Amino acid sequence: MTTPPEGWEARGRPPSWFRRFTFAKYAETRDFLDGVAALSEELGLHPQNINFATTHANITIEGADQQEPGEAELAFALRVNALAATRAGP
Amino acid sequence: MIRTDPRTLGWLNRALNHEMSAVQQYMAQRVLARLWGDAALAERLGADAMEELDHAEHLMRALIEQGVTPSAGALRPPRLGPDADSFAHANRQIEADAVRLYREALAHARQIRDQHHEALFADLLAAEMEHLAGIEEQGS
Repeated sequence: MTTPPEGWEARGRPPSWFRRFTFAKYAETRDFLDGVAALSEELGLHPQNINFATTHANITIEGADQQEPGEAELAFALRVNALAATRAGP
Repeated sequence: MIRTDPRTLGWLNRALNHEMSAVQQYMAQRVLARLWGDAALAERLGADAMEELDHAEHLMRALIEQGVTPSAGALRPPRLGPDADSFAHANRQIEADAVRLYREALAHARQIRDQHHEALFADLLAAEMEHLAGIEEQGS
């Protein structure tokens, strides 16, 4: 079983990883979401779900065919973490 | 993982949260109006709630089509008040918020050339603009 990267919480039924990202202002949140969209295109992996409001974004990722997230999802999550790290959150 | 643009999913979820919050607000106001004995106001607020519920159903369908289980999340607390005027003020605000939300969502769908969701957001924007105009005309 692949361990989720820092900041991500493993959830079950179906197995998934979840993380809430917080930002100081809406522009940062939008910029982050644009980055996630570009990353999805680049890696061919898309989050299972995204919720956002003015200063936060919640991301859920699942493995293929509702299996445990694996190496591909780990790579995606790490890149998302890196994206968030470049935005100045509180 | 599904193939939808992540931002589109975000807008669908955000819109669902808004619509269910609006349902909660209109229904709570309807209960108060009934307690006041204002049947006409209660009936109008009930119709408002049903309209928002219909919007929520469209959004839920769009999410299910993308393989996402709809979940409105934490709803905005309903804004009530001591009289019909205070309801009208709160409802103008929530409808103006809806118009802003759908304008942004529509702009996003157009930007990424997602015609399916563009049509959905355009329909909901038109409905909310009409609703806002109706509230301003009726005063509630």
